[in-house]
Amino acid sequence: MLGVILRRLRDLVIVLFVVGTALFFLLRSIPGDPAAVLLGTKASPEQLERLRHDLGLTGPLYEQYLHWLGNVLTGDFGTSIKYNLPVLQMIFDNIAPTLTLAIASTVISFMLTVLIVTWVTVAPNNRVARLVNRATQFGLALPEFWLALLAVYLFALTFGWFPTGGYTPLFEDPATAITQLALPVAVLVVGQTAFLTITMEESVLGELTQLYLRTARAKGVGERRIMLRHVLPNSMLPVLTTVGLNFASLIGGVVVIESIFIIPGLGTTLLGAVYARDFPLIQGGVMFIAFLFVLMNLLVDLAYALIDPKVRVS
Amino acid sequence: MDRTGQRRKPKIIALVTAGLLLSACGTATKSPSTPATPAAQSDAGQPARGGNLTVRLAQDPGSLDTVQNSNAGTSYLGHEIFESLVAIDANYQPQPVLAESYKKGDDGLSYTFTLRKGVQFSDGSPLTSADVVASMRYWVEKGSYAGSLKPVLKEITAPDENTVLFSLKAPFNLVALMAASHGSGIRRAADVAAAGATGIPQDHAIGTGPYKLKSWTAGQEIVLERNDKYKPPTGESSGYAGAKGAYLDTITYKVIADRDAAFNSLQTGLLDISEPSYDQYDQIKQNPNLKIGVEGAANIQYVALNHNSGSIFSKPEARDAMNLLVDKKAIMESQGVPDLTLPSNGAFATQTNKAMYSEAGKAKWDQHDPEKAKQLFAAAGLRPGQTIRMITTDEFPQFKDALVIIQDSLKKIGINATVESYDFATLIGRKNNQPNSWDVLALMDDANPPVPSYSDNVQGMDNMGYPRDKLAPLLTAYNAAQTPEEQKQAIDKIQEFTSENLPTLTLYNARSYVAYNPKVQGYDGWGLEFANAWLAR
Repeated sequence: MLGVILRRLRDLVIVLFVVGTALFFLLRSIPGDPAAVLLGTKASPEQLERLRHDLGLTGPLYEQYLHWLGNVLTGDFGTSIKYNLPVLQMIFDNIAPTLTLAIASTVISFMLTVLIVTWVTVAPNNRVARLVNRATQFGLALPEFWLALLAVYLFALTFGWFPTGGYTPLFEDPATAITQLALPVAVLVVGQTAFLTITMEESVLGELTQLYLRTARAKGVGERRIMLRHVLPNSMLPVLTTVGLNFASLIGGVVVIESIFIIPGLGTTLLGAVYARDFPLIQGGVMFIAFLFVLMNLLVDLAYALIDPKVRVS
Repeated sequence: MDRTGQRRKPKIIALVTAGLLLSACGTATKSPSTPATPAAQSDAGQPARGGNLTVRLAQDPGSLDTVQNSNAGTSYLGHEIFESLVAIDANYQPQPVLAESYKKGDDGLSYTFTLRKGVQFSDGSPLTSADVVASMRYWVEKGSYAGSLKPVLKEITAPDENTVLFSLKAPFNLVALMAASHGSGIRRAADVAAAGATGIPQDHAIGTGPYKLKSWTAGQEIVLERNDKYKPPTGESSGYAGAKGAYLDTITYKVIADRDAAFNSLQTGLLDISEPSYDQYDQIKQNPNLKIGVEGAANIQYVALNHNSGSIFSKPEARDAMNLLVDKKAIMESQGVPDLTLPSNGAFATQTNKAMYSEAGKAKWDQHDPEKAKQLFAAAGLRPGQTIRMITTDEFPQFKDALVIIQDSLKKIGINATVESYDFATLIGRKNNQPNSWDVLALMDDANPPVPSYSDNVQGMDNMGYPRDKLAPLLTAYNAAQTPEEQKQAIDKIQEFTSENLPTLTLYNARSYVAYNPKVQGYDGWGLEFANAWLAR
C-alpha cells in the first residue's frame, strides 16, 4: 500500500512539472497579452510596455520561466493579473461550487448506476427494469448544454419549480442551495449515469463468463446470491476507475453547466482567465486540476485494494 | 473598445463630452446648475430608503481602478463609489461635483479648482487638495484617456488645502476631458500610493460617492452599500452630476456571463436590471413585466482600415473604394432593431452630442457606388486574386455580421475577402503584433470621445499609420478655441480631415438599452447609474 502511495506521489511531481512547464510556454506562444486586455485599445505602446514590465512579462522567456518555477517550488503560484489576488486564494474561493456539483452528481449517478444494474442483473426479465436500463442509454445521446437549456425552460421558466440559476453554499442555506443545485446536478447525473451504466454492464457481462461462477453454482449457491455476492462486487473495479476520472474531469469541465446555471465555479473562473490572458491564474488552475487527477487516481488505486484482495496481494 | 459581455463600452464616458467643450471655452466660472431637461422621468411616488438592487455584470471587472482598468464594469461601479471634480449632466454639460467652482485662466494655460467644503471619504477622512493632486497625477500618468493631456500638462499643484491648480504648456480643454473620463474620480492620496502593477488594490477602493464597497467575491458578486458619509453636491440630479439620493441599502452586482442565463434571471426576478443583447429586444419589449430604458448615447460601430504599408488600405484610393462599396444602411438594418440603431453620418460623435457632432463628412459617407469602388480598387493596385483580410472578435456578433455583408459586397465586384473572428485578446494581439497580417478590423467605440476625432483610437492603434503630423495642428486649433463657434469650426475641420483620410469607416451608431424590473423606481437608464434608484414596496 505504501508503495502505491509513494509511486503516485512521484507521479504527482512529474505530472505537475510537465503540465506547468508545457502550459507556461504554450500560454506565452499564443497571441494576445494581459496588458492589452487590461488597458484596452486606447492604451499607448509605452503604457503597454510599462505594464508588461511591471507584470514581469518582459525579458528572456527562460528567465521568466525560472522565476516562475522558483516561486512555485516555494508554494507561491503568483498573483492573478486580473483580480490582483493570490492565485491559490482565487482557486480555493471558486472551487466550492464546482466541488459541490461534482460530488453531488458523482455520488447520485454512482448510486443510481448500482441500483439500475443490480436491478437488471437480479431481475433480467423484469420489463420495467429493462426499460429503465435502456432509458439511461439516451443520456449519452443528449448533449449536456441542450439538456440544461431544456431543464431551465421547463422546470424554471415554465413551471417555476426551481430557480433559473444561482449558487448558495450548502451549509449557509441548505434549502436554497438544494433548490439551486437540483437542475444542474440532475443534468450532470443523466449523462454520468448513462456512461457508468454502460461501463458496469459491460463489466458484469465479462464477469458472467468467469469460471468461478460455475463452481459456485455447482456448490449450490443461488443465482441471486451469485449476482449480489460475486458478480456485482467484482464488476465494480472498472466503474471505480471511470468514476474517479469522471470526477476529476468535472472539476475543470463543467464550465457550460456553470455558465447556464450561473454557478461561479472554477471552470468559469478559468475561462475568464483565458479571455483575460491571466497567465498565473490559468497556470495555477490547470495545475490544480492536474493535481486532482493524480489524487483521484491514487484514491481509485486505494479503493481497488480495499475491494479486491488480489490487488492487495500483488 | 473595452470588453465585457457587452465588451468594453465606455459609453458612460462617451455620453459626456460635448457640452463640456462649449462651457470650457473662454474664462468662465461654473457653479452647479439645474439642467434644462432631465435625462428621463422618474416614476411617481416618494423615494423609499432601503432594500437591495441586483444588477447583472457580464464579467467580473477584477479591479475598481478606473484609471488602469478599462473594463465597463469598473466604470459602472466607479461611478457609484468615486466622484470627480466635474462630471457631465444629462445634457452633456460639465457640472462641478467635488469642485465648488473652477476657473480657466485668461491665457487658457491654467485651471483653478476650488473644492467643496465638508466632503469626506467613506472612511471618514476629509477630502483635501493633496488627495486631488495625487489622484489627478495618477490619472495623467497611468490613464489612457488622459494621454492627450500629458504632453501639454506642466504641473498639478495644491496652493492650499482647498485649491488645485493645473498649469498647462498650451491651451487644452481640460474640463471636457476630465468630465468625460471615468478615470478622473478622486481617491485618498494614500490609496493612490498603494497602486501596484495592475492598479490600486480593491481594499483601497475608498471614495466620496453615494455608495462604498462592502464585499467582493471574485468571479461571483460585488456588493456596494450606502455611504453614510456621502455629502451630495447641490443642484438637481442629472447624469453623473447633482445630488444623489443613495436610497438603496445595497447594490449587488452578480457576475453572469451567459446572456441567456441573465435574461432568464431577469424574467424570474433573480435580477432587477440587466443589459440584454439586441436579439432579445423584441422579446423584452413584449414582456409586460419588464421595462426598457434606452440610453441616450451610443457606440459607433466601425471598420478600421489598416494604413500600414503591408495593406492595400495604405492607398487612399482603396480607402475611398471601401467607403463607396460598403452599404452602411444595409449593415445597420441587418441588426433588426430600428429603435436602437442610427446612421452615424460619418461623425465621430452622436447627434445628441451637439458640441462635437459634425456633418462635415456626411456627403462622402453617404456615397454608395460599387462600380466606382471597383475602379478605385484597381487604381489602388489591388491585384487579381489578392484577398482582403478582415478580422474581428466573436464576442459581439454584430461585428462579424457587418464583415460578412462587406465580404459579400466585395465578392460582387470580383474581390475575394476572408473573415476571421477571434477572442478579444487574440484580436488585439494580432492587430498590435502582426500589423501586416490584416486589412480591415471591425470593432466599436465610444461615440462621444473625450477628444474630438478618432485620434484616441488611432493613437491606440498606432500601427495604422494615421498621419499625426497633420492631425496635431487641427487638435491644437480646437483646444485653443475661445468661443463655441470657433470650437465648432475646429471640430468641422477635424471631421473633414477624418473623412478625407478615413482611418476608420463608421457603419452606424448603436444605442445600448437596459431591461429592468418595474419595482425599480427613479432609474432613468443613464448608464448603470443607480445613485437615485429606489425600490417600490
